[in-house]
Amino acid sequence: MNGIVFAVLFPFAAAVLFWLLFRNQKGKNGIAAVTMLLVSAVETVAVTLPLLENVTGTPFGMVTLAGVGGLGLHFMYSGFRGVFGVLTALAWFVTFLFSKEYMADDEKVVRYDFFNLMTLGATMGIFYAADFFTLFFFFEIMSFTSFMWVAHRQTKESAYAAGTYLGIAIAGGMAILMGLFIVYSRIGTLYFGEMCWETVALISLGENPAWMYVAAVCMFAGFGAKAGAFPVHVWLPDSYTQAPVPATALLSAILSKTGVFGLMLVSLELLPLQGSWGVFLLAIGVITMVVGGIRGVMSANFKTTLAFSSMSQIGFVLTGVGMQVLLAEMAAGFYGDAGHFEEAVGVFGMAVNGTFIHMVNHSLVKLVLFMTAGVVFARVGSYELNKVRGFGRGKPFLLVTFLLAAAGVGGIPVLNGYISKTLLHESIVEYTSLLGDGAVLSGLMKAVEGLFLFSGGLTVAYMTKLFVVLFVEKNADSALQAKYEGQKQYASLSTKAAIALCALPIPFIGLLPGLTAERVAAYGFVRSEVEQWHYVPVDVHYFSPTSLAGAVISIAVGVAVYVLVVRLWMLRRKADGYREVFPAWMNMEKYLYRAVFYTAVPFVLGIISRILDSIVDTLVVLLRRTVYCDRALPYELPEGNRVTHRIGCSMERIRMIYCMIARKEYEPKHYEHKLAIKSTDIFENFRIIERSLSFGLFMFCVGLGLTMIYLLVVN
Amino acid sequence: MNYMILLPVVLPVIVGFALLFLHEGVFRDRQGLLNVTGVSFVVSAALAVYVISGAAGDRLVLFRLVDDIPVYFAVDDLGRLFAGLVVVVFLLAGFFSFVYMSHEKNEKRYYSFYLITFGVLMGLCFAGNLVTLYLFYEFMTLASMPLVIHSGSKEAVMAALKYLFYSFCGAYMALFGIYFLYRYAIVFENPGDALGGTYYYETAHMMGFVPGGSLDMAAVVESGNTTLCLVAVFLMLVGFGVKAGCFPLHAWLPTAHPVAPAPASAFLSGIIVKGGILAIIRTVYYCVGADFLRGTWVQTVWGILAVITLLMGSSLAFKEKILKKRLAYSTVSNLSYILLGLSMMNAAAFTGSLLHVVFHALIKSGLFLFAGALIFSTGRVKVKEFAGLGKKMPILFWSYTICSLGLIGIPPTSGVISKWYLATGCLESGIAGLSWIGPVALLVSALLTAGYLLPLAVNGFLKAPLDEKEHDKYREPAPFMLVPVVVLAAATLLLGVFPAPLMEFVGDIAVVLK
Repeated sequence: MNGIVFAVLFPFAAAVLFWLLFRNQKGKNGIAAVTMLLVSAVETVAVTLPLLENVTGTPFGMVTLAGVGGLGLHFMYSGFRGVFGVLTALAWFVTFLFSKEYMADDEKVVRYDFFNLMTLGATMGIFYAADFFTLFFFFEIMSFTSFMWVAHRQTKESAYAAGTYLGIAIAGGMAILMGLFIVYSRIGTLYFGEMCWETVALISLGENPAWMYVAAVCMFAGFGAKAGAFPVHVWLPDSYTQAPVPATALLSAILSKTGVFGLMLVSLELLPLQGSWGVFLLAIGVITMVVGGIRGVMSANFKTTLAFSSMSQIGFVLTGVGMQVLLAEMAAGFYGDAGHFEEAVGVFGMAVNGTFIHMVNHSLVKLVLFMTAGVVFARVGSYELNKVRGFGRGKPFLLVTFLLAAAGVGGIPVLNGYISKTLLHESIVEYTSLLGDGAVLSGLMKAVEGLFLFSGGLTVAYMTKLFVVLFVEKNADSALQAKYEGQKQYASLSTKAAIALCALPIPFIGLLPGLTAERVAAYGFVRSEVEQWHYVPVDVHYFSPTSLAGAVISIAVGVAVYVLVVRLWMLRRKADGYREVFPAWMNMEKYLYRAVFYTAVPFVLGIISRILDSIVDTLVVLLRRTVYCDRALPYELPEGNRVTHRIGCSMERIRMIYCMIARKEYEPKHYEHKLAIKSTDIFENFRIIERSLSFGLFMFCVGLGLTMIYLLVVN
Repeated sequence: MNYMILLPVVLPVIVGFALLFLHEGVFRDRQGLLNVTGVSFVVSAALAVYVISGAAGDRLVLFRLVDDIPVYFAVDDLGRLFAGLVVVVFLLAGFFSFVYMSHEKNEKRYYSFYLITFGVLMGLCFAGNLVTLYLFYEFMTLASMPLVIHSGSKEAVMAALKYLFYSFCGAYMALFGIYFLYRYAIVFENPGDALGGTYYYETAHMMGFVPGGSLDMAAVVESGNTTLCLVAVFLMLVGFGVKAGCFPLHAWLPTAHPVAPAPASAFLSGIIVKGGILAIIRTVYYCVGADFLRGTWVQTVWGILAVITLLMGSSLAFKEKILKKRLAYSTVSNLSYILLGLSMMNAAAFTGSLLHVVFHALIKSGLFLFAGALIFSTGRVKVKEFAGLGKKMPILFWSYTICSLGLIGIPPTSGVISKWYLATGCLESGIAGLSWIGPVALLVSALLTAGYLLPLAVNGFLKAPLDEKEHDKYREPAPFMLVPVVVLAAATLLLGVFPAPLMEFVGDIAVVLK
């Protein structure tokens, strides 16, 4: 049981040790890469051991690190966590294997590896967390360490992307924290497994669940952002494109799943059996998969297409999570009605399995696809479709692995994506039929089903686009094409091994779902508020005509979209090659989020604050000017006195204005100086007069005169 | 009598004045001055630790101002917490200044006032009744003013005048409150029992600090002056709030703190502002009693002022371009986290406030010392001029990054713990509106904090420097400057990961609310 604590803390310790050992070693990337491989291998073993120990996947045990971080950290093990722990460790292992060649010439590899290991530890912490505080604790660490992935290349574009990534990560983190505050102050516990009973008890007492929805939406802002859900996905395309390839692969394959994991826990623990929350998640999921798919089709950049594909697939997963919640509520509603209840639980199982298998599938597929993109980038030096064109010709290994992954995620039968998408699709269809015709939701569910198949078609379309670009078309520059075709040694053995390792399970899952996918899903059956509904083996005929029909519709849509959008629109002018057809002004990140949160809000807050800040100071100044009669600091005039200074200045100004009005050349007449000399003259004369005897006699005379007048007046 | 309690108060003041009046020539060179100062720093700190440990006894009546009011010292847990904090930051900023002040004139004068301020602060921490506290509060303003005015420039003089103006305005408001409340103070016939002391035998004693309040509330109600009494308490809150940078009388803080030399800024922003917080805690929780204020308009208005201040401070810091001013605005904002927590008057929020007192003191001193180290080695002051320096000074910038994360409240650093208690305390308080506006404001402010602190770290590590040629000569600062920053950053991290002992200590103090 302490194995999982080891799995969480070991990468942190390894990161620090690694940094201490390698910080000054430039140009020894080989040794660093081998060290990384060893560390991730140890990590993989550490997370696999509990899997062997606990063959049923039932949750057990809780390990506490008392007092750490204030509330203490708590870890637990369950099948779901176990599967994702292993997947995480494996993903790190293969990306390290891949980086051995890819990052061989990188100067900052030590820094990259340091943050990479920290992120590994934090991700393990998230998956093994037993309460929301622990989850949040590691989620924040993960956000900050993975920031260095995005910023790694230190170009202007990566700095921009990293700025958005960090902004959304911090804002999302704070939103999660707000949610936790609310939950903690209301129900006083953050433990998974305890929370749901507390909330169920509160609701049964008639408490208004509005505050739980507020908390849940807050947490959605944080977890959804990491997953890449609409409308907090805005960081995703830039960050995925700018991060180095191994990091992008991890972002897409693992880190997005931590966000989904968080949302699943919110659905299971905070809002158990709340249908409205299910509808919310379903809506978010559908929008995410459609928006991601559309932007994926319209992008003219290899890596950005994959980034949007990631977003779209997360949309599928979120749709699945939404279906789980809806079905759980429905099953609970059928309680007592044995026949319907059984059926609903069965469909619920489909949604749970579909979601889970799609998460695993997406991780595998995206690891392959992004690493392929890395191989391309290492040789081509660009991700633009026009440059990449034709690179894959004559490279059978690349062809096979890419085709497996692309067709896999596209939902082509006999590959893995088909299994998970069929399960999800079935759960939607069955749910609609269980609802009956009259229900409010049934119309909506028909639309969801349609959009689900349409998004599947979009997946097919953009994957076809990438496949055609890479392997079918020839580059416009024939010299370049010849060079591409001559490159037989385009990737080292370790790189190929990394890609092959991830591509291998794809056909197995697709061909033998009963032996692979369903076993894994049964093991990873999410512990939930419906714990007593034990795992029900799902009864789906994957290769029955009804199941295949969905795939056929998707493929047909895909072909149509491909022809219309890619062939006819993006390639309208053949000479220019692929064009970006998505209108630039619809960039939400730049024109909405940055404009509002980086410019408008600070501006308004700044103005209000400036006013508040200066209220008292202004008041003091006013008082000094009026009541207190504050004098300006006394200073000596160089010549003359204050009167001559004022008059002289005023005359000068009047003359200046006169000249301006009369349009004459203005020459300073130095009135101030002249007046000062005048006044000095006058005062000097006065002084001479003052001191003379005649002045004395004169004053005596005046005195006599005044006396005379006085006497006259008195008499 | 435990006259030993006076030692850490009196000795630094005496040494400080001696330094002030001694002729320059007494010290053979700068090193001689530093040796003497260093020894007196360490001795003063050691004496303070001696008193904090409790070995010097816990109460002392020095003399009586009037029959009922003695100048009285008492060493309790709250005083210990604050005094311990003062000692840590005093030593670190003091040693930091040994290098930093080599660039400034009148070093001797600086050290002497620094020591005097320390002595006065010790008096403030160990003050046992409101009048003694007020006395040292005024001394604190006077003693710290020369630190602000140190450079002697016109800007510094104006800032110091502003500092004095605001501080005295506040202090007189507080004094009015004391005059008013004095009439309702309980005269403890045998305060040895009431104050929980061991062998206290004075007969008359007013306005002493008793957990839960030492005013005769029955008398207040009987006299029919409840409203007036609330006004008086409110005036005291606003008055002492001046030192704590509370809106509307906060404007001195962002003017005065940045003009002082960096180690003095660290001491001002980290510690001296906490004097205001301590005075407020003593007034509300140990004199008036939280029960009297709970649910009144005073509590609501106080909370609203705190929310306004914390948002205002953060947004102004976000807009500010000069590093030290930015940090000063950040102090305004963070002190109001503490005030918001205090205004909630429940155990969780009170714990959060005290934790934030500790964390903010350490973090903000660290940040100001960091700013000082940068200004010392580069001579630049604007935030964007520090781009690319992280590669040359990695340890310094790493320390800065950790301190920043602490102030934002990102685990595993310390800030998140205090924020947790503050926010849950707010939500528990059940005051309509404020109970949820408070946490939201805290988080918005945290976002702004990230916005004004992190770009410096990110640009420091990842951006190209402004001036390549100049850039090459920069190195990590001298150990005397580097070590204090590193120690403060390490404390931020350690207190974040292992906060249990501190939380236990603070939790015991929060018993005043039960």
